[in-house]
Parts: sequence; C-alpha cells; structure tokens
Amino acid sequence: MIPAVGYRFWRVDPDDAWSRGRLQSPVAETLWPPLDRLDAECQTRPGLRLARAGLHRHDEERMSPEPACSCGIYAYHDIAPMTRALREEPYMFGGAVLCWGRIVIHPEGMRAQHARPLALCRPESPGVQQRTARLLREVTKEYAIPLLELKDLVAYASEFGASYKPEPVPPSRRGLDRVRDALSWRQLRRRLGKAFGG
Amino acid sequence: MGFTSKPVRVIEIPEPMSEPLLAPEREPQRTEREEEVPATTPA
Repeated sequence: MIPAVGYRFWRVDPDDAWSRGRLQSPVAETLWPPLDRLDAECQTRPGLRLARAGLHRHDEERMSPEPACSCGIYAYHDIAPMTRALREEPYMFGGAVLCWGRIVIHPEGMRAQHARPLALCRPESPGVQQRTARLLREVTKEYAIPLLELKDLVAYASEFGASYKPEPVPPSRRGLDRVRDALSWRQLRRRLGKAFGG
Repeated sequence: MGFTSKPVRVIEIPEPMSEPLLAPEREPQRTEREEEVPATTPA
C-alpha cells in the first residue's frame, strides 16, 4: 500500500516570533516540525467542538486517530475544499500532504496517524501573493518543499502517493425502485386523476 | 477542518521507504580514513 495524498491548509502567523515560518494547524494549533513527520495525538477534551468520543489520549491501547473520535491529522481527498477555506482567512495557506500509518477514511477526507507536507501552493490573488511572498519563501525553505501554482499541485503530489477517496455510494436498489414506481405511467395517471377530481 | 460524515474505512499504510525530505536520525559516521589521520601538533 502506498502513502495517501491529501490536501489541507495551515496558518502561518507572520507576527509571532516563535512560530514564524512554521506551519500551524488551524484548529489544534499544532506546529508541524520542519523536515520531519508530524505524529497524531488526540487533543480532544470536554467542551471542544469536535470532540466526539471523549478522552483517550492517555489510553495507550487506543492510538490516534481513533475512528470513533475526531482526532488525527486532517486532509481532504480533493483540492476544492482546501481552496474554499483559503478564501476565508489571510495568512492561511494550502498545500499537499503525504499521510501514512493508521488512516481513517471519510467520504470528504481522511484522518492520519503520520503526515508531512509535500508542497505549498501559491495564493491565487495577486494582492495576497505580494503581501505573503517573503513569508512563503521562508516557510518553503524551512520545510524544504516547493511553492507551486495551484494547477500543478495535484500532479506534483501524485508522484508521492495515491488518493484513497472512497467511491461514491450508489443509491440503494430499493430507492431506485421507489423512484421508478413514482414515475410509472400508472401512478402518474392515478395522481392526475386525483388532481382533476377523476 | 472537520468532517461531518462518519468514517467509511480504516487502513494501515506502512511508512514510506524513501523519505528524502526527512532529517537523518543519526549523525553521519566518521570514515575509516578520517580515523587514521594522526593528530599533529604545531611545530
């Protein structure tokens, strides 16, 4: 099995002297280590919006990501949800990641045990490009990863791994039968008859 | 980030064999030739 490729976004705080030049997870505020892998650690706690299964971070037998929890390193299967999120916040940058270890697969993305960034993508807006050019240079140098145009990101990332996006679930046969029955000529005639008082 | 749907599958993927971007885990070992060089003292 080859590593999984996904797409996600990070925050880079230009004003924080300690985290400047480092990729930071937008939700958990985890700093991604340069030139190394990030290991998932459950940080769910009571009151956290995404917590589902309660605490298990100190439970040695249950490693992260736990399928019933919300922990793990997040990545989308597709590039589109990532680009949507980028339009919402300044100093949020998108890119590709390589994931391995335990992978919990959801229809829209995955939660991984280990991950490392593969590449960052250049912001689409010329204004943002100009404002963040220096910062992005620092980040890509720190992580030894390329800064790519958005259109080239998928092709580049595919060289390192594969997508594990699940096949869309087809509507059940029962559902199809119900639709076919509703559209059948006999049913339509009966409904029209009722509508016109027949 | 967060997913609203339930997981559909759990898989285990082994660590990639070639990790050119990962930092080396140990210091580079000294070569035999380096070890054989005698210590010289300035004249």
